[in-house]
Formats: sequence, structure tokens, C-alpha cells
Amino acid sequence: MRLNPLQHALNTTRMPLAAPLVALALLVACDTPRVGPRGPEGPQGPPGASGGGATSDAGDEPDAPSRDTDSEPDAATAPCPEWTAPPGLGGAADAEVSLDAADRWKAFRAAREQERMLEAWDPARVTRRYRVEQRDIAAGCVSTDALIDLGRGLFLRSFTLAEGLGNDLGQVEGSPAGRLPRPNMRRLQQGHFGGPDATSCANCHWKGGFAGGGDHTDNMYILGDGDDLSTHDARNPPTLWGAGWAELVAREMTAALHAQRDQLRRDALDSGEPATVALQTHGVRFGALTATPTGDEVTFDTSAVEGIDPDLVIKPFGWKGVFSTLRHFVRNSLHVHMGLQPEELLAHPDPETDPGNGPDPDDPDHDGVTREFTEGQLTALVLFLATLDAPLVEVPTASGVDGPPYSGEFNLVDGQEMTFRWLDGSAIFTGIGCDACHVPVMAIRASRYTTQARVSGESTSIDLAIDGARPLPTQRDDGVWLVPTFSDFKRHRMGDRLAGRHAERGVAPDVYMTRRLWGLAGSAPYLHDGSAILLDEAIAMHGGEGSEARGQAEAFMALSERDKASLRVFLRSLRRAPTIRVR
Amino acid sequence: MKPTPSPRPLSLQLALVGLLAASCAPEPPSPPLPTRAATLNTTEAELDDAIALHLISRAEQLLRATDPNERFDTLVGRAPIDAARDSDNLGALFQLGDEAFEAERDRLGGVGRGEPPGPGLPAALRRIQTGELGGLDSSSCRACHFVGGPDGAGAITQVALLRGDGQHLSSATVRDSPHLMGLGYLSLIAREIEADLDRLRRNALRDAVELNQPVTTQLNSKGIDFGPLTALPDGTLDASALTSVSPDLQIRPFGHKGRHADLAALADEALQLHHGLQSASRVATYAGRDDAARWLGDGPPTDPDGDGVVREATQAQAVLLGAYMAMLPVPEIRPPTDPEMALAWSHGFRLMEQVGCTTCHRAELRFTDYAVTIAATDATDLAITIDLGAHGQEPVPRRTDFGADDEGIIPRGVPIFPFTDLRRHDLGPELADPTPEDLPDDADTIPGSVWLTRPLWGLADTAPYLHDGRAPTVADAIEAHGGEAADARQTWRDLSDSDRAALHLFLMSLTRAPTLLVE
Repeated sequence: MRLNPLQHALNTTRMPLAAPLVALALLVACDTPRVGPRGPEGPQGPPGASGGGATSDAGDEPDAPSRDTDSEPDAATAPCPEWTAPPGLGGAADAEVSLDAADRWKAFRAAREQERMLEAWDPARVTRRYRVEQRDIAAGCVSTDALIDLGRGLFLRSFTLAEGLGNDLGQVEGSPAGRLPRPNMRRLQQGHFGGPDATSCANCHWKGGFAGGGDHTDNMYILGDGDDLSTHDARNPPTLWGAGWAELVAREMTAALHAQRDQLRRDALDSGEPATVALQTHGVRFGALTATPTGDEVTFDTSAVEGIDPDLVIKPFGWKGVFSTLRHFVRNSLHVHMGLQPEELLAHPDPETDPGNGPDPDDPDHDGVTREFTEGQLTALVLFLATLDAPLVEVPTASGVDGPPYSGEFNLVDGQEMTFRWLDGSAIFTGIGCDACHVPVMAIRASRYTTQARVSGESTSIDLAIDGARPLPTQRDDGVWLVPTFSDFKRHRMGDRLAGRHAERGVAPDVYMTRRLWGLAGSAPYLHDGSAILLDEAIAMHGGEGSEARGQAEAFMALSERDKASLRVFLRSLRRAPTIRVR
Repeated sequence: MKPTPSPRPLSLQLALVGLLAASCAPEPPSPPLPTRAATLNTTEAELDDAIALHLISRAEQLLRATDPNERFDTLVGRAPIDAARDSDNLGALFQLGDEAFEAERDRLGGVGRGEPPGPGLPAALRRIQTGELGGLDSSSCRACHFVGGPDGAGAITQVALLRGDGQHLSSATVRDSPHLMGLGYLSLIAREIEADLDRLRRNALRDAVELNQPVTTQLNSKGIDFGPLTALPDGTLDASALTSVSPDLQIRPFGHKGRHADLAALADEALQLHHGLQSASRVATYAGRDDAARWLGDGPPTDPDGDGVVREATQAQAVLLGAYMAMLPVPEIRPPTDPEMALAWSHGFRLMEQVGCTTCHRAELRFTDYAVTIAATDATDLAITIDLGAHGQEPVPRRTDFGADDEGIIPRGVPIFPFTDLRRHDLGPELADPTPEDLPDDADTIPGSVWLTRPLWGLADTAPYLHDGRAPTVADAIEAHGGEAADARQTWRDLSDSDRAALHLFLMSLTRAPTLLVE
């Protein structure tokens, strides 16, 4: 059965706007207004879902008192230290194809080339550029643009031994590390300790463009014994575009679920009877929560809660959906992949992260370097990632596609026909039910992104609508942002074909969070282990025994070759906006 | 490297307009730029070319979406190579090679070994390779050649885990993937050295027969000493004292140990080892031999790798990729702009000479003829000769200095600056592989501690360093040099801190010209 996309849009109950329509709308997103911080919450938004204080609901985030600061200089504090920013692009880099952008990227490349030589000549001078303290950020000494530039620099940086790369646990008895001298890299990770297996974030996030995904050569091999592949689970590095927007979606969903929980508590207490609520937000159902009054408190029964941890916090990062914030994800990754131990990680140990068994508690990786990654550096890296541009839906049009000129003898791509193939494909996407989990668009109200340092409790806040890279998600006239992530932000059982060996942070081996499909065109190979080179293979792998998506996978397999092709054309339109890069 | 597209049809110009619109106008005014050299200004033609290339790769994606086999024959057949040779349209061949280099190889094209686990399911990945059969550890060349830019090196995460048991990290030989720039020119030099060595060999043989006594000749070419070769009166050779080059006197500039003499063979083995694409030339070599299963797999004779696809890594594909690599540009030396650093930089190069680095990492080599031949390794006549002076991608090495050297001699040929002597050296036990490496076709066995002098050009973009990527910095890499390089290492250690910094600074100027991309 094929639904007319517009009809489908009218019939659907999930969203005010349905997939294909919104996807088309995204195409004309180009006059997205630049807006300031959002106004009061609309009807859908639960209290506290938007605005600066959104960190409070992030489950793994700190107990430290929140001291929200703006980036305004504070005369009462100590004077700003002298600091030279590393080469930058003047803040978030819009996805943009223009002469100006090309010149900016060339200047950036040239400056980095010079810096590399300066680093050989005077390494300490360059290292200083890449360090910043949270208190100086809080005091307004570092502009938002400089922070984002610093974050990009850290993202691209190949870290050095002097900065704490790797560990020196090779000779330490009972250590979870390899047995090599510093930096003691190890391509396969051991247990909760990690490798380290990389020297730079950009090692594994490059494919499909800047801050993209990784090939399966870049797969990380986790939770094993560090040598035998058959003890590990593989994880393919996903693309990072739109990460800040994804976190905002998750936060609003979390806030809504928590509001339902709070309401349930009040209802149960008021009535004195057990009460149950069907948890639902943004059109996604998360099972049922029951509250039973016990005196003046309630006990929650979460056994019927689905697709989310009992804390009802949406965790949008990691293939299994295990990190609620970019900050948590990055903090863990720095240690696991590069052996850079953020001070926050050591101050607030994570039970699922093994920092090593060096005798000095301030230097558990025993390499003689302490405070390897400051709170301020972490803030910068997080803000850089949060401000990456949002992928869009780029429908092929007659003027937009042409055959390779060297093909000469045949005209390979007829644009108008491709447009219709895309239309077909979008209808098939919804027709066979891919959109049941890969929900095309999430509507959110807030564009303010806040990250909170764990030790100092300082929050740093920016507005993605102002500071984020273009293109932004589409904003409707009523202020609602339409974020085309193609995910329900919920975990699902995916069957035996996709099952790994280990549970990760309590999530069962065959359970994964619905992968966001935006930016998919540039992110091959697919799936959590990068095993699928073809889209067809990735879809077929959804059809294992016990998979919630088995029906959809079988429906796909039953499609005619032509319909499969149309669906592929549609999926290929989920891409990042073209942008300049100078290598 | 991205190819330079042919003149753009009108539709591409229209597409440009569309793209600019799609990138969300109106754009905010750019922030004021720091003062910069005029050469940084991008021209419209440069940008248009980058956009055209982006549109091509986008169109290729859509083509594959509608018909997965659409481009298959073009990439594996010999027609484009014959056509390019006959029409002298090497630009088209380069572009096709670029497509082949970037293409995601898939099961339809024969990726992987053995039956997939079920209909429509992907081939099994093997990040750690199995013996000579390889893995399936990546699906495109680009996956491990993108650091620093297109056709660049691999990151530490992208190391190849070769000749293992398919399961244990500790069983594998680790190799960091090098960048691919300038390989065509190294080929030219290698062939010229071989011609010199061959002449010396023939002279020695003739003398030995005439004099009826063993004749030892010191092999030397382009000022590089390759060691002694002894010709015996019975017309045979005693190459036992020769460690710099294999007994066949072939110069093999490719691979950390000097594994391959030509680019088609390099590409052919890479297709086999990394993508599990059955190599036709390997089948031709090993089919019927006792050890065939070790090299080919144990499937049926028509499909030894047992994946149900019979036409995989054809010789045409290897020649296409070889021709593509041959036409890639050379790296560049880009000095610092700061005057103080520029002085340190030039001091750094002098120090490289004084320390003895340049004894093996020879800064300059010269070639006299731009013509490189890329040929199939099986018996077919599939071959193409490319005049790199006419068809190489810019920057192409050109001769600009016709002055005399210190001895008043005007040297012949076009200089390149690869910082290698293209011969093997023993670097001692610290750097040694645990096992020797057998070259293909039983050509030679290279001891664990013996390595080809790595060309240092483009080095700044290739961290981490050494054959297994163990050295995060240049200093760590230098510290690991033992054996024949032990004396130079000691001299380096004895340098003052500022001298070491200057030498390091010089090395970090070995980079590449910027490439403008639209991604």
C-alpha cells in the first residue's frame, strides 16, 4: 500500500506535520530567521523544558549547585589571564559554499600549518593555547566564538604525551592497560578502561565531512580483553552533526516525562490510591508508570516502562543511548580513546569507566600528567560539538543533479525523475512503517543549550539559534523548531542479527536506541558495528528473530527492486548541507 | 586528490545557483579576516571546480541508489583504460580512478570472503586479517588514506592488522598507512635506478666470464650506494652481501619494507587484502599450486574466495587505480612565515645533514623522463604509459634551476624532494617485526629489522609515525631508530634542545598544498 505523502501528513496523529511534508518544508528552510532566546513555553512544553536551567534533569549530571553565568565580564573577579586563542574560524562554521567561506577555511588551514611548526619550535606555547579554565570562562574572559574555536581546535588536535595522551600503566601490576611503553596505545579496548586507541577526535570522525562518522577501520572494540576480537563488541563512530539539537530534543522529552511523573505523584498522593500513567511525549510512548502512595511519598513501579531507563532520562548519545549529555559522552570518550583524563571524571568517578590503577589518585593512568583535561577545555569541546550544523533533507531536483561530465555518452541522472523517485521513496518510508521508530521530525521549543561543569558547578549557556552553525533546523512561525532527526529517541529490541555480546551500561546486548538517520548519506558504513556497506543490508539486519522492526524489514525485503531503489533515493537525501573545507 | 573536472556544462552552473540557495541565504556578514597572503584568495573557477566535483560524487550516490550495478562495469572493465590510451584523454582516466578510489565497495562487487550469513545480509567484517587472504577491514581506499587531505595517510585507528589469525590483535603485523602523493615520481626514479643497476650487473657478468674469475662490483646509482654484487665466471651472481635491494635488483619503493615495485601490483594486493576482492592476477599465479588455499581461499576453482561473485579485483581495476596514484601530485615544503622561525627552519635542514639523517633520507632525487608505465601483472597486454609532465595533477615537479652544483657540473633531470634513498636498511631490534616478511611471488624474504627508508615528504600530515604508528611525535620516531641509524640517533641526542627543536621544525614544514573541497 502506498500512501500519498500529503494524505499521510493529514492522517497522521503523531505530529502536527508529517514526514514528507516537513522534509519538503526543510528544503525551503533557507530563510530561517535568526532569533533570540525563545519566549515563554507553548502548550506542549512542560515547565522548565526550555531556557537555561535545563541541565537539572540530566540524570548523570552533577549535584553541584548550578551557578548559571553569562559570558559577560565580571568586574568583581580576578583579571583575565593572558591567553592566545588557537587558530579559528570566528565561532561556529556555517555549512556554506562561497568564496568568503573558502577564504576563511584557507586562512584557517594556513594558520594551523604555521602553528604546527611553532609547536615543534616551542611546544609549551602552543599547548597553552589549548588550555582554558572554567573560572575564566565564567568570568567572561573567553567569548563564545573563541570557546567554539578552541573546541574545534581540541577536536582536531593530535594530543601529545605532555598533555597526558595515553598512560604509563604498562609495568603496573594488575593494570587494565596494555604492556607497552607510553602512550601504551591498544587498538582493542579492555573492559571499562578503554584503549587508548586514538590520538585525536578527528581520527574517527571524518567520513562524509568535517566531524562526520568513521569507516569500519575506525570501529572501536569495547568491553573485551584487549586482544581477542571475539570478546569485544564493535562500535562504528557516528556522525556528530546536529548533536546539540539532538540533546535539546532529549532534554525536552525528559522534562515532559518527568512532568508526567510529578503529576502522577501528586495524583497518587491526592487520591491516596495507586495511579498509573501512560508515559508519552512528542508522540512517542514509553510504556506505563505506576505510583503507589506510601505515607506522604510514593513508590514508583517502573516495570512497565519501555525504551528508557527507570530514571526516565532520554540519553541520546551512544549507539545504545547511554549518555544523556554531550558532556558525559565526551568526558568518557577522552579517557577511553585517548587516555586524557578529564578532571571532572576523576572528581566524580563513573562506575562504568575504569580510570586505571596508578597509585596517585590524581593520576590514575600513571603518566605523570595531572589535570589532563580541564573543565574549561571540556566546556569548549562540548560547545563546539553542540553548535555543529543540523543535517537537512535535500530533495534531488532537475537543476541540482547532473551526471558526471566524463561519462559523456550517457546522461546518468535525470533530475525531474529523481524528484519523483524521492517522492515515491518518502511514501514507502512511511508506508512500510520505518517512521514508527525513525520519527522524521521532533518539535521542540527551546534553542538554548547549557552545559554544566561538574566540579565547579559553573554552567555555560549559549543559544543555538544565535551561536549555532547554519543551517539550523526549520523554525515554524509559532517559534517551534522542527528537528529532522528521524529517531524516536527510544530504545528498542533489535533481534539476534544485531545483538552484541555485552550489555553496555545496563542496556541489553540486543537493545539499541533508534539511530538518528539525519546525515545518513555521508555516514556509510551503517549499523552499530559498521557491518552494512549497503543500505539494503542495513535494513535487512533489522529483521532478526525478536526484533521490534522485523515486520518493517520483511516489508522492505518484499518490495520490488524499483521501490527499494526509490527508498534508497529518499534515504540518500538525508544529508548534511554542502560546505567548504580546505584540507 | 580530487580531479580537475572538464569544462562544466550549463546545468552545473545552474546547480551552483541551486546549491548556494540551499546553503541558506542570506548569510551573515563574514567576520573581519586577519591579514593574509593574497594567494589565499579563492577564485571563482577554483570554487566552481570544487562544487562540480561535489555534484559529481552526489550524482554517483544517487546513481548507485537507483541501480547498484550502474557503474560496476566501468570500474572493473578495461575499456576506459584502452579508451584513455587511444585518445590520450588521461584526465578522464584520472577522474574515473578517483571514483574507484572513493567508491564504497560492496557485496555486489565481491567484497568479503565466504557466504554471507543470510540472504541480503552483509559480508562478515574481519578487522584483524587472516594470513595472506586478508580481511574485510575497509570498504574504500579512502577509508585509510584521508589524514591530511585526499590520498593522505591513515590515522592510528586505521592501522592495518595484517597476516594475523583473524581474531587476536597479538597475532597481527601492524602497519600504519602512508600517504599516496608523489608515488608516480618514485616509480620513475625506481625504474631509472634499476636500469643503472642492471647495466652494472651485466658489465660484471661479462667481466667475470672474460676474466674467468669472480668480479665484485659496487652497485651505485644516482649517488646511492647499494652495496657489493659478485659475478661468478659461470655466469651466475652471488648477491649474498646485498641487503639494500632484493637479489633481482628490482627497486620496490612501495610498502614499509619495500614490498611492491609498481603501483598496479600495490593496488591489486590492497583490493585483495582490505576489501576481500579476489585478485585475478593472484588466481593466475597460485591456482593449482599446493599452497593455493593459503593465497586464494578454499572455494571452488571459479570462485576461490567462495562469496558467489566471480569477477572482483580485475587487472583493469588494478591498472586504473595504479594510473590514478601515478598521476597524484607531489607534496610540498612550506616554510614558516615568521622570520625567526624561518631562520630556525633553515638551520634545521643543515642539522639534518650534519646529524646524518640525509644519508638515508636523501633530500633530493632526480629523474630524466616523465613517462611512467602502469601494466597488468598477468600476461595480458593491458598497459598504459602516462607522461606525468603532461598529465600529472598539479603540483607536478618541474625543473626551475639550471645552475651548476658545487663541482661545476650542471645536474641532469628534474628534482623531487622525497627524503629517501629507496633502499633498505637494518634499523635494529627495537623497530623489528617479530617475523620476516615474504614478498609476493617468492621474490624475497625481508628480515624483521630491515625497512625501506621511508620517504619523509608530506610527513607533517601523517602522524602517527613509523611502520606501526607507535610514535606519536617525530622525536619519538627518531628515538626508535637503531641499527644502521644508531650513530645518527646518538648525534641527535647530543644536540642542544634548541637544535633538536629546529630540526623538528624543519620536518614539520614537509607538508602538502591545500586542497579546496566541497563536502
